[in-house]
Amino acid sequence: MVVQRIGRLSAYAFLLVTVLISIFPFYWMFVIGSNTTADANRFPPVIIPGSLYMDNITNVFNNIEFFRALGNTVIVSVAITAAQLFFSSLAAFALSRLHFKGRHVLFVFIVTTLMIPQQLGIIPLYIIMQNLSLVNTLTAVILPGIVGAYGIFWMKQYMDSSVHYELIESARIDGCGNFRTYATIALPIMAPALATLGIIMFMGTWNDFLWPSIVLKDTSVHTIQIALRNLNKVYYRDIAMIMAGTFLATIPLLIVVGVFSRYFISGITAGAVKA
Amino acid sequence: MESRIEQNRPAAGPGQATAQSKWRSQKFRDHLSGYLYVSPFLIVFALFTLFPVLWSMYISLFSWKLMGSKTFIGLQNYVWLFTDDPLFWKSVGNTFSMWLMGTIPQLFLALFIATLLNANLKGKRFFQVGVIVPNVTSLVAVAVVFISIFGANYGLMNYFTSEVLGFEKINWQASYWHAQIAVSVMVIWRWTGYNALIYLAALQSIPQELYEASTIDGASKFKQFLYITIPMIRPAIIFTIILSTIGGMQLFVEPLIFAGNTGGQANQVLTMVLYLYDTAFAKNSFGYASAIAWMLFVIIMLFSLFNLYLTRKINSTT
Amino acid sequence: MMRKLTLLAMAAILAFAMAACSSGNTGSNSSGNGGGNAADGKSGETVELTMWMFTGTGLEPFVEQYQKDHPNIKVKIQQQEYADHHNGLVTALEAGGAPDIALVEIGYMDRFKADESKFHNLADFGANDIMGDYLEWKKVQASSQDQNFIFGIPTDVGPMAMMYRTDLFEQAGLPTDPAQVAQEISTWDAFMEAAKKMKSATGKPMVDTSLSTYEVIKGQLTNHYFDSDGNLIAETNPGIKKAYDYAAALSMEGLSGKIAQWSPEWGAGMNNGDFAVQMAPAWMMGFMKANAPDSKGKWNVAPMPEGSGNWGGSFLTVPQESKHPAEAFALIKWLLAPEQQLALFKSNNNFPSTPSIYEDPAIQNYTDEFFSGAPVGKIYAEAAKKVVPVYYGPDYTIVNTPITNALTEVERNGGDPEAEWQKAMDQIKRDLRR
Repeated sequence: MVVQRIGRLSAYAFLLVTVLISIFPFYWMFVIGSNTTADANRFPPVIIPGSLYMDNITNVFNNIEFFRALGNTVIVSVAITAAQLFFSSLAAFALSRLHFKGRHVLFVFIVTTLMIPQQLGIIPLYIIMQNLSLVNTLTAVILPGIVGAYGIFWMKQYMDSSVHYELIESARIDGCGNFRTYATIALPIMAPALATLGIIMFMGTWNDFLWPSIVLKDTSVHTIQIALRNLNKVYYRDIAMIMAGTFLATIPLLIVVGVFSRYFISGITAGAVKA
Repeated sequence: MESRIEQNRPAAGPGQATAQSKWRSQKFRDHLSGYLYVSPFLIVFALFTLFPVLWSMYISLFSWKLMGSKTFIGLQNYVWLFTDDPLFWKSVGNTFSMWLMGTIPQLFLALFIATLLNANLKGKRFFQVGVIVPNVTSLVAVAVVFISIFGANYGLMNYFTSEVLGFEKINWQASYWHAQIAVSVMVIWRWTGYNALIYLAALQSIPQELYEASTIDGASKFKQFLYITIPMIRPAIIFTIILSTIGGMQLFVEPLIFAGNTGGQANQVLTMVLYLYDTAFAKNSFGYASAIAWMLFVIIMLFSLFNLYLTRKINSTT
Repeated sequence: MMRKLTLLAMAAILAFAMAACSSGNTGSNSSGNGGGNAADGKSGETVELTMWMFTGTGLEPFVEQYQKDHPNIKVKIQQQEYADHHNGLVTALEAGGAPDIALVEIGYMDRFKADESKFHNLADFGANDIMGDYLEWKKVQASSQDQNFIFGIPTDVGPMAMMYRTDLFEQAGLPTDPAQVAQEISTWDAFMEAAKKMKSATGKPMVDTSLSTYEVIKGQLTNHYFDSDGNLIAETNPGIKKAYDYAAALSMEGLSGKIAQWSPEWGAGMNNGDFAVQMAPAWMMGFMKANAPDSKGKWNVAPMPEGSGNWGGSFLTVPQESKHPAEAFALIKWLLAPEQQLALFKSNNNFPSTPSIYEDPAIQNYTDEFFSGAPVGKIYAEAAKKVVPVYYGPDYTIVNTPITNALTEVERNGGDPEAEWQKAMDQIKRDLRR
C-alpha cells in the first residue's frame, strides 16, 4: 500500500517535471510577448510576464491580417487532417486486413517513400502547381497533403495489432461489405490511433511554412505561419511583437490537441474484443 | 439490410451462389477494394512526388547553379561525392552520432512516459497535452530559448555550471561534442512527447483482461510489462523505430536553427539534410544537391533495413 | 457496389469542397498576367501590376499614392519576409510566375545578375536618363559588367559608421569627442592600438566579433573574391588576406568578444556595454535603440577607419515575365526618385541612394539623442559618398562562408589561422566547381 503510494507520487512528480520542462519555452513565449524586445536580451533573463501583452498583440493586428490568416490555416489544417484520417485509415485497412495481390510490395513501397528527402521537391512541385494554375490557392497546400505514407504506415501498424481477423470474419458473416466493415468495425477500435494521427497531422499542417511560403504569395491566402514570419521586418525584428503573435496563434492548436486527447481512453478496446 | 443483399449477390458477376464462388467473390472484392482504398495514395504520389523524384534524378547529372548555366556532366557529381567531399562524409558521421544521442534515449523515455500516462492518474489529460507542447511550440520561440540556454556568455547552462557549480564555462555552440549534445537535447526535448503519444495510443489497444489474468497468476508489474505490454505494442515500436530512424537521418531543423546553414563554423552539427539544404539554397548548386539527395535516400534505406533486421532479430529472440 | 459509389461520391465531394474553398480565396490567380490585352499602352485601360517585396521597406504608402495619381494603374503588393521573399523569387524566376516588379536585396543581386534572360533591361525604357541621380557605386551594383544592361533601380543604401561607447572609451583613456576619435583612430593599425588599450584598461573587447571587423575591412577593398572576368582571386588578393589576418589577430589577442551578430547575446552586449565599438549601417540605429535601450546616450558616432563601407540596400527590378514592363518601370522611376526617397527617409529612416538630397536639412540636421546627439544624418551622407564600388560575383556566398567560418573557428576554438585559411581555400575550390 505504502509502496504503491510512493510509486504514485513519484509518477506524478516525474510527469510534472516533464511537463514543466516541456512547456517552458511556450511559457517564455508569453513572457517575452508581454515585455519589450530589449527584455528578451536581459541577463539574468526575465521570467515573469510583463504588462505589455495587449500593446504587443495590437501591434501584431496592425501589421498583419491575423484572423484572416488564422482562418486560412484552419481551413488547410482541417481539410488535411480530415482527409488524412479517412484516406490513411482506409488504405491501411486494405493493407492490413484485405487479401489482395501485391499488398506487401505496396506496403514496403509506401514506407520507402518516407525515406525520400523532401527539400528538393519544392521547385518541381511549384512547376506542377503553376501548370495546374493552383499557385496562390489553398488547394496547392491541401492537395499534396490529403494522404501520406506516414499516416498509412501508422494506421496499418495499429490495425495489425488491434483489429483482429475474427472481428473481420464475424462482420462478414453478418453480411458487411468491405467498406462497412472498415467503417463500423475497424474505425471505432482505431479511436486512439486516429486521435494520435489527428494530433500529429494537425500540428504538422498548422506549423508548416516552407511550401506554403513558396506557393502562397497573396495576403488573402497567407496562412498564419507565413503571416507571423512577415512580422520580421528587413531592418528590424520586434521579437516581443513576434512572440505575442506566435503565442496567440498557438492557443487554438493546443485546444485542438486537448479535444483530440479525449479519445485516449484506456481499455476501450476491451469491449470490442469481447464483441 | 442492404449488406445482406450484397452478400448474396456478389459483385463478381451474375450470381452463381455456390460456396466456391462466394469465396471467389470475397477474394475478388478484396482485390477491388484493396486497390481502390490504396489508390488515393498512389494518385497523390504520382502527381506530387514522382515528378519531383524523377526531376532530381535528372538534375543530378548536371552542374547547375540556379539562375545560371546548366551543363551535363554525367555521373561526375557522384564521383565527387565519393572521392572528394570530406564535408559530406562529416555530415554522415554527425547525423549518425546525433541520431544515437538523440533518438535512443528519446524512445526509452517516451515509452516510460507513455506507460505513466496510460496509468489511471488524476489530471491525465493535462499531462497528455503537456508533453506534446514542445512539438506545438513555434520554432522561433524554440530557437530563441535554446540559443539563450546554450549561449556562451549569458547562457543559462553556463550560468548554472560556472556560477552555481563553479566549473569553467562551456563553449556550447562552438565546440564539437558540446554542440552535438546541445542539438541532441533539443531533439529529445521536441520529440519525446510526440513518440509518447504514439506509444500511448498503442498501449490503449491492449485488452485489460490480459493484465487481470496475469495478475491472478501472480506476475509482477515488470514481468507484465516485458511479456504483455512489449509484445502487444510491437507494431507501434517498429513504427517508431523506423520513423525515428528516418527522422533522425533527416535531422535538419534543430541544427539549422541552432547553428545556421553550415551547421556551425566547424560544421560540428552539419547533418546530411542540412548539407543538402545548404548546397541547394545557399550555394545554389542544384545538380550537386540532387546527387546528395539520392545518396541520402540510399543511406537511409540501407540503414532502415538494417534497423528493421535488428528489430526483428531482437523480437524473435525474446 | 453501392458502397464503392458512396465512397467515390464522398471523394468527389471532398475534392469539390476543396476546389470551392480555394477558389473563394484565389482572388485573381492570373495576377500579373491578368489584363494582358490592356498592355498596348492605351491610357484608358487598367493595367494591373504585381509587386513582390520583403517586409519592412516602408514603400507601401508611396505605391498607394501612385495609384491615386494614376487611376489606370492597379498595383497588387505581395509581401513576404526577407528570406522567404528571395527563395520564392528564385523559384518563380526559374519555374514561372514571377511578378511585374520584384525587390532584390544586394546580397542576392549578383546571383540574379548572372542571368540577363530573366529580367527586362531597364535601359530599354529610359533608365539611363535617371541613373545619374543615383550614387555611382549603386549604378555599378545595378548594372551588368559592361553597364549596358540595367537590372534594377536602387532603393536605399546602408552606409556605415563607427558607433562607440563613450563611457568605455573614457575608462580606457581614449578620446570621446567624435572629431578626436576620428583623428586618433583613423587607420586600422590605430584601431588595433585602441583595442589593446581598451582590453588592458577595462578588460573588455573592442568589437562584438572579429567577423564583423573582417566584413568591414573587406568592404573597403575594390576587389574581393573575383576579378571582373569572374576568376577566383580570393587566395591571391593581398587585401583579403590582410583583412583575414587582421581579424584573426584581433581575436587571438582577445580584442574581440565571442558574440555572434543577431544572437540574443548581441543585443544584451550592446545594452550592457560588453564591447566598445559597433560598426553600424544607418538602418541598424533602429535595432540598437530597441534592443539596447539602457545604453541611450552612451554612444557616439565617428567615421570608420580608412574610409567608408556599406551594408544592405536593394533594387527594384522588372522580371522578364512581366507583360507591362513600361508601366512597371514608370512606377519604379517615380517611386525611387529623389523626392520620394527623401520622404521615405523622413517616414522610415531608409537612407536614400540619391546624393542630390543629401544637402537637404532633413538629412543635414538629423541628430539622435541615443547617440549623444551626434549628427548622424551628415555622417552617413558623407559615408555614402565614399563607398567604393566592387564586383561581388554570383558565387560570392560560396567563397565568403568558409572564410568567415574559419575566422569563427580561430575566435571560438583557438584554431590556427593559417591552417583554417588553407582549409577554407580547399573547401571553396571544391564548392565552386560544382
